[in-house]
Amino acid sequence: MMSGLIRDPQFVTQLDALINGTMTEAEHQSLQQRLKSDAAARALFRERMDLETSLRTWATEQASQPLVAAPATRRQQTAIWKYLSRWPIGVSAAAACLVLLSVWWSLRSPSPPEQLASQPPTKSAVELSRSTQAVGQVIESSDCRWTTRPMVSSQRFTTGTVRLASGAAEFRFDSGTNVILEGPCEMQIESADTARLLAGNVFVDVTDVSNGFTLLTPEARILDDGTQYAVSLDADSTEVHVFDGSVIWIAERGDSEFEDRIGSGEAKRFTRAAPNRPHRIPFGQRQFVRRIESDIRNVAGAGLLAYDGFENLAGQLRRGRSGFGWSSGWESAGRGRGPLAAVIDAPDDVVFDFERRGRRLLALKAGDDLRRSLAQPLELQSGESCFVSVLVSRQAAEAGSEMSLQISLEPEAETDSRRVRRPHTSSFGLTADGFPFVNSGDRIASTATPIADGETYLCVFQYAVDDLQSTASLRVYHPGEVVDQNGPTTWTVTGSSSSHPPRFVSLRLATGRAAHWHVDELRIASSWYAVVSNEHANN
Amino acid sequence: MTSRDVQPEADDTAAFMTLLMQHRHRLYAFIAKQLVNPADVEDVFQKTSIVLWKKMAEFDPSGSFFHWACGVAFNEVRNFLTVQRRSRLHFDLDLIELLAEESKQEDKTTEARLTALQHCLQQCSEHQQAILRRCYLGPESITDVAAALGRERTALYKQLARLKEKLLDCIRLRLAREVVG
Repeated sequence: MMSGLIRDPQFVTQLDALINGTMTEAEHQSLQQRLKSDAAARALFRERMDLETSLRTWATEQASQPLVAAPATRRQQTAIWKYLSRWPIGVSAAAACLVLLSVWWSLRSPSPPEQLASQPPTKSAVELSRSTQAVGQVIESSDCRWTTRPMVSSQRFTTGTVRLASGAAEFRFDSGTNVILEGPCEMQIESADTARLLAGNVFVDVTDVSNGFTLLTPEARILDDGTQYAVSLDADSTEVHVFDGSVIWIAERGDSEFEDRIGSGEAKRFTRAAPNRPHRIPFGQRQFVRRIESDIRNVAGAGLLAYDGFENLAGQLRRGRSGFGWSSGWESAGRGRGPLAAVIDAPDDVVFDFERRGRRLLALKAGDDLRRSLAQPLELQSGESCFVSVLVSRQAAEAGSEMSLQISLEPEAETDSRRVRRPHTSSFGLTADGFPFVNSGDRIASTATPIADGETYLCVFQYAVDDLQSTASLRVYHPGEVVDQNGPTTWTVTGSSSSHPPRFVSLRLATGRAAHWHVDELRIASSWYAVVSNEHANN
Repeated sequence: MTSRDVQPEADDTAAFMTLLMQHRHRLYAFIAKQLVNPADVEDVFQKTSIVLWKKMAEFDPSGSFFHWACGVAFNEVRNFLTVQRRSRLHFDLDLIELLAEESKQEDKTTEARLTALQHCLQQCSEHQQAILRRCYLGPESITDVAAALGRERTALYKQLARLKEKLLDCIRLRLAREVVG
């Protein structure tokens, strides 16, 4: 009897509405009557509620995953703490439970959980609660991979150590300071106004309302003086880049305390062995890139899955140095090892409300063929879409030469050969004659309006999946055209395929053998907004 | 404080906390099957935990902790409904009693479903798992999550429904195999 109900779409829809809280009073009454009179319906309801609560339990355990590897008792302790810490401290019963928790820990745990390592179990419950109180809010990008997650309840983080393997996460401290971690990075949050950088890069924005922030490194304290700055820590040295205001570097090693003020537009390196000897280094570069990228991420939102603005140092494209949402750097897709494409200065122009002064772009030529793997594979279900956007400009062409540009979303390779083009690849681009085209599952469609040399176009590609087919569509925006903010009314070219939607794992840029293309602002997203959003345009 | 509401000894406390954590999921599920809404369930679960701790002297260690805790939880559900009845749609007391009685008998099934789910989730992609985590971890509504992900709310609802259907099928299959095996 229950098996019949399992496939009863009406009953399943009723349960969905009940759980989602979208039921009317009449619908609720009707469901209640059915549950009262039908034991099989009740069994299905209970099964469904078990799924709901199991997902909640699983999600909570996942959130404290770094501790999963610890013995079960530790995991349980963490779960208890997470659960108890939601109670207001002022509630007497809850306070009593904190005492109870403290006693229980002191009895059960020779060494408390990692996040609480600074607190011996003999400390009072009040001290314990103070040491782990929420000190800010964490905003993480969709591609964040944590080795040790922050202790979080309702997006509020507590003191403790965090380890970010990849992606970027912003910690908005209650003291008014925002710290952006760029994976890989390790940081110990000590209080609402102090953190210790253990490895990797952070960008610190001490806002106007802040009373100050202290960033500790292995060899120094960095005190702000109303500022935006970035710190990069490696095995031997620490770099400090100051974008606004100034910071004071106070070396803590050695017999005497050494202070150095670093002003706006300056960057210095301090070696671990001699933290009292600053070395002036070129300002900006990598950290500045991260600020650009964090701005883009903030505007585009979580729908932006991967991005590369090619904001490397000018010169040869450097592997793994730019963008986010990728598992590794660019690699050659066709010609083995050797130099990748060149990164050059972008023109001082504004294209599609995008200011490019002082920025970089990717210059592709002569059969350049590059691939970059996504941090998270793109797997689309029926009803879902993904988007790719990119600025492209073809440099002067010779008639009849091989001047094409192809941008492809690739599924996993079926062979190890890097040269073999992968089946079920979906791509878009411009033909040798400059005609926009899409290729969906080896079905190619193109349009009859070519682009002009030397002009910059915005290409937005959509790959949409429904129950019957997948559809690849391309919208090419010409110079001066206003970009649709909610999706285009018409596409430049569209093609469909009945092939099963693949799991995309990488993106490939390939040019014809005589091609010269400039490529910039590459984005992959789950929404139209995330690929076309622009801080200036939105303002 | 009544004569029964005595401060427990430290050893008893440790044992009690262990029991509570061992039964946390099934007790939470027991309450969820009566109240459905996660915020209500969390509220009653917290109150239940406090009452259980205060009344732990009443617990007979030779009996079932889960069944004892269910009795306390059911009273807390009734108290909650008396106060909160008008704030949200809830089942009436007749149905809640029926569901409570049946739920009390299937604690092992609840635990088995959790274990099966953990296996079944491995069949989901990282992306799918990330969406599920996002939707089930915090207090955010699906509308909030959809906005944060830049997705249409209805599209996210549909995707979740498909994922949960797939997971339920997988859980049923695993449990059926265990019975056969």
